Amino acid sequence: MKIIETSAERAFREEVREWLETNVPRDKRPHDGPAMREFDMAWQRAQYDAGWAGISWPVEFGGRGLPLVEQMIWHEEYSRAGAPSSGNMFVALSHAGPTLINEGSDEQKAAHLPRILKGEVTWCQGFSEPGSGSDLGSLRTRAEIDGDHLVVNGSKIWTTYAPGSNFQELLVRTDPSAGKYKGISWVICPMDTPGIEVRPIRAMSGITHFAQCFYDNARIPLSNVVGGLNNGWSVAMTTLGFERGTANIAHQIELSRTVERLIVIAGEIQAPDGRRRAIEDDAIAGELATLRAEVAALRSMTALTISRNMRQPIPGPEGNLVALQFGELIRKVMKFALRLLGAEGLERETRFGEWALEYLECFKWAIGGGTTEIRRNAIGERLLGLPRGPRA
Amino acid sequence: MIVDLLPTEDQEAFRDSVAALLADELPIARLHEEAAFGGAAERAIWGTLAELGLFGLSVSEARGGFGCTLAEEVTVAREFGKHLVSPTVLSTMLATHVAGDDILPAIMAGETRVAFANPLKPVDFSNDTADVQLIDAEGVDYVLLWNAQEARLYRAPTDARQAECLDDTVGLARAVLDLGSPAARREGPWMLRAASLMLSAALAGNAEATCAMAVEYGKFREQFGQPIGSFQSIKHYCAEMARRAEAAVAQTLFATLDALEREDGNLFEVAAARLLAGDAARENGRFNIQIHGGIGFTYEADAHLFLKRAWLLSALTSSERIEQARIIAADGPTA
Repeated sequence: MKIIETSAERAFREEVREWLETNVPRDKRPHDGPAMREFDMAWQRAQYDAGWAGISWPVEFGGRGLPLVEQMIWHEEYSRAGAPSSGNMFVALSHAGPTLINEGSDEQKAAHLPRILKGEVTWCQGFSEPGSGSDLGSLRTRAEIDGDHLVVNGSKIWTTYAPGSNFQELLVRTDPSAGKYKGISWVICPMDTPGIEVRPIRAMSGITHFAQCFYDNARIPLSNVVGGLNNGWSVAMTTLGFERGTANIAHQIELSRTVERLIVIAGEIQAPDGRRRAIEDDAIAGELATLRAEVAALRSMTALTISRNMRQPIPGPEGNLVALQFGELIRKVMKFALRLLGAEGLERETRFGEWALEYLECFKWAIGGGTTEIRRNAIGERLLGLPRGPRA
Repeated sequence: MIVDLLPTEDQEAFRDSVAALLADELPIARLHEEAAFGGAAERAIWGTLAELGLFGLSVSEARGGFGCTLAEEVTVAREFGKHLVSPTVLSTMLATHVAGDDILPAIMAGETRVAFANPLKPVDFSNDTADVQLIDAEGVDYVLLWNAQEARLYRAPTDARQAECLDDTVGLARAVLDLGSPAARREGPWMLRAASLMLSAALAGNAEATCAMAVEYGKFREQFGQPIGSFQSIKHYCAEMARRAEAAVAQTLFATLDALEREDGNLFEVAAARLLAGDAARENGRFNIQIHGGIGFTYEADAHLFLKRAWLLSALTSSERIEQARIIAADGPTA
């Protein structure tokens, strides 16, 4: 229990801060479509060209090979500078890349890691299926071996940023006769493979960022299997684990900025009684204080999780505590925002119009990447050692 | 500020030695005997606690102490929380932050003890007196009182009136404290931070302990032919208890490092720790009782001991509203 930022790391922080100050894109990020994808890729390329891509990735594949502390500093400064979220680059940078670094062959690493860091390609995730959500292990998308290819048939759903993606981290059943979790493989799927169709899905917010993918005899080279045939479940669990590490820093700082914005707004608008500013209403101030404290705790929980990860290479089940705190907290914050704004929060075109959208979008955090209920199961069983519930 | 929130090797070794002593000498079972109430069990081993170095932990080596910091004190306070150790151990440790050379050696030697004086109204040292509750103050020499500007030690009042406490394992007495002649003073907001963090750590430890108790019971107790911990209703309660305890621990540790880094910095991190640790201990206390069912509602079970102590520690110089007001008035989180 100590402060571990050295003077060399403080100098690194200064350097990062300076670069971000002058280089964070000033143009507003497009809301959707190819323009948004190009924006995300160009920003990644700019970071690569300046030597900031892949802070902790191996040097031989274009990364900086720096320790975890530098990576954390980068994430902190990145979010503080208000830099755009990685968006279309997210799966490549936070899931596929780290998975390939840990589980990929040298050929796979050489083929994909540099292109990711240069912002040349985007990835999407093909895990969930229409019949396999929380029970991911029941997935039924088949892949039959035909010579040196896999022939894929089936469907994936909730695939964020699928339109335009170059690759997909795809979970398929390669051995239907093996046990539920034993016959699955993790495959690099080129999205331009003939037989793949992507149909966009509109979310409750009105935004169309995700899609359903269909595979009709899509032929993928057998050499695209990562981490060994029929070993995909363990590879996938590793991938999910990475989501619970430093990648959370960005979300948590973003949420902190959101609460700070709400405190400013509460100081400007009137309380419901119309006689004082909202922040002077004790009930409103109290709720805001609790939210502010809980966001601070989220930051501290992330720090504690990362402290553990510094001692263990693969993230443990403790990361679920952070994910649970985040998923519940963001919904509380957004609900509070709409209650604070009252009638004004209803209109999507006013100065508070963005809050309605953010409120509607926030539900995804308690569902995507594992619902909060699945997270509570994982905490109960894997962290606390409680007996397992029903398993098919 | 990049931090490592897990204990260093030295911190771990010290924590383990304290935990081993507590397991041997202060098991929770002691609190089912009235003879141990009011800090009597702790008084009986006070010399051993002093020998461990508890009362010189953050005293400089030049003054005969260990030259550690609040970080080490908070680490052991968390263990005290798990064992429902008398608050007077915490207040005596905190008194070493205030005591001058006339009093300090006796505290370090285990000859002098200091109890919390819990004010019933915000403390104004320019007043003549203050109405206070004295906590586990039987036979103590001094009491500790502070506000955001200053901390003071006073001679323990001799005319305190015993009162019954919600936490009946703790001694509570009402007194009117004469504010005129302090035995020691320290100006500045340091004690508000240090005491808040020590109490937060004890509350976080309390929340961890009830989480562990509920989990153990969930593994062992069977209904409908299976351990109740296999049911999601129980499992999810336990997961939430683990989340609340983790939030309380993490925020307390972060706030401690923040306080050490910037002694007169803003109060935000500390107040956030106090708010969340209190909430975690009280909520976990309630769910621990619920998961234990009928047993949890009995006097002979341990569950109620933790809930009562959670309320006591939460109400020492603090309340939810006080902490919320500090949080909203502060500058905001440390980056």
